[in-house]
Amino acid sequence: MIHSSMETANIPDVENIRLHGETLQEKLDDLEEYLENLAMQAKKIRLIVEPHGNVLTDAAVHFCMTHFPLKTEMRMKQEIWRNSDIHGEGEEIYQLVHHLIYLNKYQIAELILKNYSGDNDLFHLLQFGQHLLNGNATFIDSHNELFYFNLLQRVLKSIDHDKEELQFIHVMKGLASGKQRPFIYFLQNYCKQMYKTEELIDFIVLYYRLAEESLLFAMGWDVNDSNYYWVRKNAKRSVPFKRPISRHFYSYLKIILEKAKENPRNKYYQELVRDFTQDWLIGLIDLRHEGISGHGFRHFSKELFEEIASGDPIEKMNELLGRYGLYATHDLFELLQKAILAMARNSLMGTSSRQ
Amino acid sequence: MSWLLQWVLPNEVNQIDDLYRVDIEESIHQLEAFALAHQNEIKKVYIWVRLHRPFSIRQQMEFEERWEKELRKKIHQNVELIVLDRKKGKWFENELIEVNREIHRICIEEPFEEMVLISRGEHSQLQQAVLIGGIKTFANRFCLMLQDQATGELIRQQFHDSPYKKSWLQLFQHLIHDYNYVGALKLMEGLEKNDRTRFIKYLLEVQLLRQNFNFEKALEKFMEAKKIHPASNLRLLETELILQCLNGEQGEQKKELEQIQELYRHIKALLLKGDYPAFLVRFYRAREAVLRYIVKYGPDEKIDIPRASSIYQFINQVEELYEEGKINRYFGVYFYIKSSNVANALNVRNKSFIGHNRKSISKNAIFHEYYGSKNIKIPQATERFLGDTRIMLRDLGGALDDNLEAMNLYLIELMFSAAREGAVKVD
Repeated sequence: MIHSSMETANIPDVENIRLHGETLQEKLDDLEEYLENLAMQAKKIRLIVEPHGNVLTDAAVHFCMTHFPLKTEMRMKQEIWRNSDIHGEGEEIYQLVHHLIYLNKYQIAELILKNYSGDNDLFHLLQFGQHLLNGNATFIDSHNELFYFNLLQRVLKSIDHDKEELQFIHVMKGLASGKQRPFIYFLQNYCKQMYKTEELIDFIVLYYRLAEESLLFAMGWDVNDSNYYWVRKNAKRSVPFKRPISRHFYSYLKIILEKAKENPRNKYYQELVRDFTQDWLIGLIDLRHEGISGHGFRHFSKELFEEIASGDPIEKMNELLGRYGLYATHDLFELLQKAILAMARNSLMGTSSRQ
Repeated sequence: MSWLLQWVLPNEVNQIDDLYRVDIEESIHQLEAFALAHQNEIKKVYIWVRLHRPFSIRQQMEFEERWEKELRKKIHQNVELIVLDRKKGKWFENELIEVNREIHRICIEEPFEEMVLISRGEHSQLQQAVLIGGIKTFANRFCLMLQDQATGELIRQQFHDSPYKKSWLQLFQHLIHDYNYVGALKLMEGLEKNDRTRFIKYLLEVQLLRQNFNFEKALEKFMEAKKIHPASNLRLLETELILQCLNGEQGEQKKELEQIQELYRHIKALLLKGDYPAFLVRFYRAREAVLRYIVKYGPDEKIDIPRASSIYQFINQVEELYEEGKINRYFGVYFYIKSSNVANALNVRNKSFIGHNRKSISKNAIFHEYYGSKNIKIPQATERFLGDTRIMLRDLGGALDDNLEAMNLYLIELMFSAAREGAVKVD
C-alpha cells in the first residue's frame, strides 16, 4: 500500500518503506527499484488501492502489471483481483496473424501487428482488405485511385515476381470503375472466402450475384450502374438485345428461354439454357431465396449446400464459369493475404530475433 | 504518435445537469488546463463516466450530445464521452470486461496512437479498470501520466517491453468482442483439452451456428455443454430459452417472433462490428419478416393475400388490410417498417454490389439515408437505429435484448477464470 503521510512517524505494526527523493519522479524511481527487488523474493505482490490514495499507486500497478504480470494482485474495497494471462511467442503470434488474415479479419490483424511493425505499406494493405470486404477497391485520394493495386503489385514483385499474378492484379484494377470482368472475378473470389469462413448467408448472396452477372456476360451483354444495358462490342456470341424487365437472374433467364424456344436449332441459345438451368445452380439460387439471404429463415450449413449442389458449390461454379472464359485463375484476396503475410512475417520474426 | 487522452470522472453521474456539479466542474476544469498545456500532442480526449442510475436510450443520447457539445467548447479538442451504465456485476472483473470492450473499440479505431491515462490520485474502480484495460490492450502504446496534486509536477511512465502484446487472452477477447467465433475456436485449438475448455468450445460453436441460423445444431451443442456443467445462470438460461423458441418448442408464433428478434440481435452485432454488407442483407430480410408477421398475427382471423411481386406491392396490401380494419394492432410497427427511413437505407443495398449494382457500400450512405440528413454522426445514427428497433420490437411483443453481448462477456469471463485457476495452458 502506498501511503502519503506528512508525518514522520511510522505506521505501527507494518514494515514502513520510505520513498526517497524530492520530486515525484525521484520517488517513482525509488518505488520501481523497491518493487523490482521485492518481486525477486515475493510470490505475489498485492497492491492495496484506496479511493483517494496516493498518486503513485497507479504507477505501481502499471509497473507490476507490466513486469510481473502473473504476480500482481490488487485489493479494492473488500475484493481481491488477480491478473491472469497466457502468453504466446513470436512464432505463435505469427500463426495467429496468419489465421486472422486467412479469415479476412484485417482489422484485428492490424491491431496485433501494430505492436510489431511501423511499416505503412503493410497497414495500407490491411486497409485494402478491409475496404474490399465492403466492395470498395478505390483509394481515398481521387488522384491516386489505383494506389492499393499499385502497392499490392509492388509488394508482390518483391516477393516472387510471378508474372501471371501481376497480370491478374492489372486486370483487377478495373474493379475500381465497376468493369464487368473484374467485377465477376471479384464476386468469385469473395464467394470463395465467405464459404471458407462459413459466413454462409453472405456467401449465398454473393453466389447469386455471381450467377446473375455471369449469365449477363454469357449473353454478351453488359450493364452500368444506371441500369443502361448494351451488347458488348467484343462479344464473340451474343443474344440480340431486348430490354430485361428487371435486373435479376430470372429476368435474364426468361429472355434466353424465349430465344431458345424461338430458335430451337441455335446451338448457342441451347447451350446457354442448358448451362444456366442446371439443377444444382437453380437449386442453390432457390436456396438463397429460402434463407435470410432471401425471403425465408432456412438454416444453412455447408452440408446442405453440398447436398443441393451435389458437390462443392465453388467447384461447380468454376466449371460453369470456365465454359464462358470467366474462371478467375487467381484470387485477389489470396494475393493480398500472401503480400500481407510476407510483410508480417518479416516484422514479427525480425522483432523476436532481436529479443 | 499523438495522444488519445483518457480522463476518468471521479464520481458517478445522476443527471444531465450534473455537468455543473461542483466536483464534475472541478475535474473538467483540471482537464481543461491539462488539454491546453498539451494541445499539440492530443489527438482526441475520451472522458469516462459511470452513471449512477439507468438512463433510457434517449436520455443517454441526449446526455452524450449535450455533454460532448459543452466539453468541446471548453476543451477545444475532439471529445468523446464514454458513458457506462450503472454497474452490473459486483466484481471488479465485470467492470473490467465492460471497460475492455470500449478500449478494444478505441484500439481498432486508432491503431497507431498512444493511449495516455491521467492519474491524479483518484482511484475509483472505473479509473482502475481503464488503467488495467489500457495496460493490457494498448501494451507498448499505453502511457500513464502522473500528476502531483500539490506541486503540479507531471511525469510520464511508459514501458517498451510490455508482455501483453503477446497475450493470448487479449487476442481471445478481441475475437469475442468482434463476434468472430471461427477465429476464437481456431485460437483454442492450441489449448489443453479439459472440461473447462470443452465447455467454452461448445458455447462458441453454439454462437457460430446461430450466425448461420442453424438453430437445431445450436441447441444440440448447447445441450452438450450442459452435460459438462449442468448448473445454469441467467445468461445460459436466457440462451437456452431463445434456442428452444427458435426450435419451435414454445409454439409457432413464439418461434416466428424469436426469429425476428434473433435477426435483430445479429443486425445489432454487425452494426457494432461495422460489417455493413452483412448488416444490409439481414436488415433487408428483417423488413419483410416483420411485415409477414403482422399480416399473420395482426388480423383476428386468418387472411390470405395474393403473392406480391415486390416489397412495395406487399406494403400496399398490408396498408389495405389496415384501411379495411382487418388488422387492428401493431400500428407502430407498421408505420416504422414502411417508413422512408427504412426504405431509403435499404435502397443503399439495392444500389450496391450485393443488390442489383456494382457499387461499394458505405456506412455514411446507409445512415444518412436512414436519418434523412447528413447532419448526424454515425455513432448517434447507429444509436437512433437501435432505439427505433427497440420500440418497434416492443410493439411487436418482443424486445431487443443483449443476449449475444451477454454471452460474449460470459465467454470472456469463463476464459479468464479458467486461466486464473490454471485450468488452461497453451500446449
